Amino acid sequence: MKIALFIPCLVNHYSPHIAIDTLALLEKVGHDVYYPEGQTCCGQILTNSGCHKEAIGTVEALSKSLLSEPCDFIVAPSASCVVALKENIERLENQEYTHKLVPKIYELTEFLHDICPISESLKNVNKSVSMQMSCHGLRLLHLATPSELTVEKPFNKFFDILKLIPQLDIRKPKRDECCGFGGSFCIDESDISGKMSIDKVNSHLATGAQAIVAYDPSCMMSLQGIIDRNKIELEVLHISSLLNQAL
Amino acid sequence: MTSRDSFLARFKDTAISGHALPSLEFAKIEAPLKELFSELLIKVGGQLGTSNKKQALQNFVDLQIEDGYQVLSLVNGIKGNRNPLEITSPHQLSDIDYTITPSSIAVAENGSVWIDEEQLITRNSVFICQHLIAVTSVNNIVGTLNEAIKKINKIAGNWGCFVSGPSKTADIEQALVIGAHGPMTMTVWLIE
Amino acid sequence: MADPTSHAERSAIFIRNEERVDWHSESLLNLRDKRDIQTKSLLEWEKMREAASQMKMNVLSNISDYLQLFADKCTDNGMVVHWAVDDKEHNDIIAKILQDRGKTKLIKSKSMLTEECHLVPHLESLGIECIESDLGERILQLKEEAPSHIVVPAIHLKKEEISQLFHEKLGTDKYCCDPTYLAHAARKSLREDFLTADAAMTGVNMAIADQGAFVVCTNEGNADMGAHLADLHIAVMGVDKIVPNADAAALLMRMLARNATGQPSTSYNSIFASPREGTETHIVIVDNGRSERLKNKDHAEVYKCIRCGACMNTCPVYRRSGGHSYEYFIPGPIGLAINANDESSHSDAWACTMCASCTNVCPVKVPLHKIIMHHREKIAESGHLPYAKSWYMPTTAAILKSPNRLNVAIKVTKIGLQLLPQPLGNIVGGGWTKSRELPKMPKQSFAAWHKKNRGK
Repeated sequence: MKIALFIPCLVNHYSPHIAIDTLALLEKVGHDVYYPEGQTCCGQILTNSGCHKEAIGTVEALSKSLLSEPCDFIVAPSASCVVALKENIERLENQEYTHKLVPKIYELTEFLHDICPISESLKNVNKSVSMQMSCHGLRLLHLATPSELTVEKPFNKFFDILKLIPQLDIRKPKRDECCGFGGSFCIDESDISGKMSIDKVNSHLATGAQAIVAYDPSCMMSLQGIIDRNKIELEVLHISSLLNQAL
Repeated sequence: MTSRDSFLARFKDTAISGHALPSLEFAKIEAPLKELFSELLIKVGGQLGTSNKKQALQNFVDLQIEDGYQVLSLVNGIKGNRNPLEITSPHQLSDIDYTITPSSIAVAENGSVWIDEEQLITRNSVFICQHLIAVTSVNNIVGTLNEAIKKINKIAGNWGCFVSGPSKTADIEQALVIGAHGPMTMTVWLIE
Repeated sequence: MADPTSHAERSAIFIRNEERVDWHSESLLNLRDKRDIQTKSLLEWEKMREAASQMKMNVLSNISDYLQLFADKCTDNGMVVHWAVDDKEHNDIIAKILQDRGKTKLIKSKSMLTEECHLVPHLESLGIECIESDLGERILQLKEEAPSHIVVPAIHLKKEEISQLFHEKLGTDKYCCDPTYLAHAARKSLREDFLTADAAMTGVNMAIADQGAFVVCTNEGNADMGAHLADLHIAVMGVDKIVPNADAAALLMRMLARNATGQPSTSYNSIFASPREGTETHIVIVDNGRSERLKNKDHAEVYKCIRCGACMNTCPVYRRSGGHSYEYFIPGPIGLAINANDESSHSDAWACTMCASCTNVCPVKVPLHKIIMHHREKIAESGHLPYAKSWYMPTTAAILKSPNRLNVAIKVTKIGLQLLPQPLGNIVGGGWTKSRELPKMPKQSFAAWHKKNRGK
């Protein structure tokens, strides 16, 4: 497939290794991947606080950038940015953007699960990991069955992808509770946010895993901040890094 | 005071419109109803009578009367020591230990029984006693509340209550306490 | 120090006692876990949620017709119906009913509507004694505190505190804090009040339009005890309590306790459709802002709510901040959804991480997180954003829409943070650095790496 890489501003500036790993793994499984220039923020920093009008500029600029070349899919290594971008594009009420962009935008895990499953055999990764089921991906992108719902056959796309990696010991914390990042919440309500994040780190620690594996870089940043402050022995990995390692 | 018409006029610009009433039919419970009812009754803090014979209940009642308890029976064929016909005000029941009442419907999914005014001398018979005993038959057990509500003889113009176990509260540190304001115990006798 | 005025300030105080916050959060998660056991054992649960949601949308689509039907049927059943446009009228109607009959002692069961209207202080100012009979509400009445949860109002209190309170007010043993002992002491004390009250008041859980009946659900039996002793029963309800028929009421009776506390049913589901012989039953139907909110399609769905409180039990923010941190008298997600757009609640709308757990537990599918987001938008449009957002959001927008500007801003921040001494860096980092280290800045952005390594 021809894939346009959407690299959220947070990943671009704070976690470029996630973008590098995503690019590498998509190329390894045979996709033609390119990185459109001039990408801006998906707007959720602004729209999270209700500032939809203020977000128009950045959403339009990003949309133009993603339309610069034709592609089959637009893939991003961040669930919350995918959710926000799709919503914010629809709000522009620009027919071209809505029809040409929104159906193509996928988060990495759902792309690999629903659209282009990995058929290559993967190398062993001897590690124990605890799944960070971030809220936007879980409840809004439906990457797994959330704990609140009654479902005959619960599913977990994130787990299904991780399961492809031989020797990977996959664990999960007791609850699928929010990590406390919440966009500007971590600044506005910093006390509650800090408490939520430390509780989340502790719940991952309780699984005994060596590392947290996540699909959302914003949550990763929040948990990493707690881990660094408290000098906790726990790695924080994005799924793209694990997959790239295994390919 | 606001008239009905001027009150209702405030709702003419409601933004929600055009939603039809959906089907309110749900799956019946087919499982062994007596067993399920008994299990749930215990789960909600209730108890089952020790026999399916009316005489056994009468024997139980006689024992309580011997021990000096006040028993109000509203069930044909069970005799207490308080005459229902003498009750002219609910306040007179404040010293009642046992109320025994018939019930026309039992609900397996929550161990409850339907008791209504047509079967009572006064509504508070169900609440003011220390111990409530409901008498019903296995044939009166249905699976769900959806099934049960269709079997109620009369709603409009009546009063009735689905009673699920004894009164309880968990308002103090979520600790379950049996016996709040209503009866301390609730027993269902499934009589033939 | 100035009085805390924002949710963040109040929760910062609540969270100081970490052990207590953990205890508070676990108490609520206990309710959530018990709920899950019930809902996952009912394989039709999601079908029931959808039906309950559509039923409530049907009610809101036809609210005026249903209210008329309900009132007509109640009147046929011998009950008296009153209409109150606002909290003041609600209080005046009730005061008049009581005063006209020379009533001086009212015993009431739990009703958040009476909290909303501040009924009890009003009646007490007129010399009418009001006793709360629900144990949680009674505790708070004696303590002179507001409820912190709509179903388990005293969840923020420890048994030692309740023991101390009961010792002072009811004369219980100073050292015994066993919940059974305390609850039974309240049973004994309130029994006297039930027997001497000359009027009773209850809320309404469901108002069955086609029967002229209303349902009152309790575990304690207090609503019934009061109503079946006094010769005057006043039932108060918001317009949104209407359900079309008995089948709809049964559906909600199956869902309410399961979702609220993980019980298959409350101990009592009491269906009132006539006054007791020789007594009076009055029903007060209240608007108080509901008609206004119902005019807004983004807001109206809040009135599907059946008051189970499950949204509070699951909300990670509510669990760690407590009901008293919120401006509105109803806390948690449903409180924000109902009122966070109002200026009086200005910072409440940001007491939320948009995790959407509340929306998933709601038995009637109120789109809670979407409504809260809608309120944020309305507040932003009004220019009254809290937490200095009105100041920095426009600048942020200008930077974000240009990749070059953002690059410059990031470079400046990087350099600035390297030059600043750590403590100042913490101040610049704002609330983030209270509990976290700042993220380690990489040497170059992905865009720069890509240009260098992929040549474009």
